Amino acid sequence: MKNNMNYQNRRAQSFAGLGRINYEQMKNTRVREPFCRATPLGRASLPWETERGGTGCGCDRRGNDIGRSEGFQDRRDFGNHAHEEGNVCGCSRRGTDHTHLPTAAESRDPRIPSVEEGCGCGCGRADGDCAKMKKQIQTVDFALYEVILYLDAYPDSGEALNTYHLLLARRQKLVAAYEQTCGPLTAWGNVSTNSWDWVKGPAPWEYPKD
Amino acid sequence: MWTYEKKLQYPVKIKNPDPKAAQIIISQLGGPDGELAASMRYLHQRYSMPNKKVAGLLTDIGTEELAHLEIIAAILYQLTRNLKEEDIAGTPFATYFVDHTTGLYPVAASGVPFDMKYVGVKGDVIADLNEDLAADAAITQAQSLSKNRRKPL
Repeated sequence: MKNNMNYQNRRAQSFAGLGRINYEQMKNTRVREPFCRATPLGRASLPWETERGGTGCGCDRRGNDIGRSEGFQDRRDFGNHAHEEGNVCGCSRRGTDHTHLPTAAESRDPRIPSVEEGCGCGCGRADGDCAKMKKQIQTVDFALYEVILYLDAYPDSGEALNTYHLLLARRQKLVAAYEQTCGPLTAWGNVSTNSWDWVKGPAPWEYPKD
Repeated sequence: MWTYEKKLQYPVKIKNPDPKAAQIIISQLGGPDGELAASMRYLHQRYSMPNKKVAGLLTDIGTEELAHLEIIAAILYQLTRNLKEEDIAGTPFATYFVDHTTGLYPVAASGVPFDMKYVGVKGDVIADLNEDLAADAAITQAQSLSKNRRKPL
């Protein structure tokens, strides 16, 4: 039973036991080559809002501007397509030295998970790395379950319901992306039409390969 | 009805198999304060709850306890992988191994199989909710006895 249902206190504790992100340390590390390569769009309210599936920039990752953003691109489409302007990882974080510190608004908002597993620059993308994508979903699900239990007890809390939808939207994007490349999460998430992936692959209780 | 998601609620990666730890942790699986008892308790009490909010809450908690059951099972599965007979012989796990090898059978650490007697479902709101309070306190105590001292599940 959850004994601390106050999700406002999340930032004061380790989030999901994964540990607080050390921004001092992060400032000094070289931004590792991310798997993703894209530029953000102009708007940047929440980090994940600029990720509209694929590049977010509207190109098809082969240098051709298709004028709209596709859904999540299959991992085979990640060609060598780097955008010169902006943060190469496509996150919404600003800072000329690409330290990817959170914005003031993001720091204040306790609903936003402070740890975003992903490419290592803090943008939160983990395209193609199934283990990381799964961990992102586990992180969101953890918070989501807290909000669900809170809402069960206090169904009239508008703020909690807003948080629920915020997290749910994030989750749906992550799950869609995961099921496209890594296999189904539920029996009705089998995307492939020629392979029953539900019974394939390691079971969740197996020792993880990496 | 229940949907299964092919992921653990919290990731488990046990690098070093340890049959002694397995013998202690198996109580979280099939013991009186384990996750199986917790999920059966919540999932069965919800039917007779007059307040549907509470019934909904018990449903969600019971479902989450089933997820915790899976985490414990994953921990035990990884604690007992690749064990040789000489690792097991002489440890308390040997008596469990005789009957179940490295299969996962819900028992308490004492070897007593899981028993529904650990659970009380009276159909009375006050009695059932008090049972939940008492069980939760016991669970928290049992889990904090373990070496890890992480936040109880």
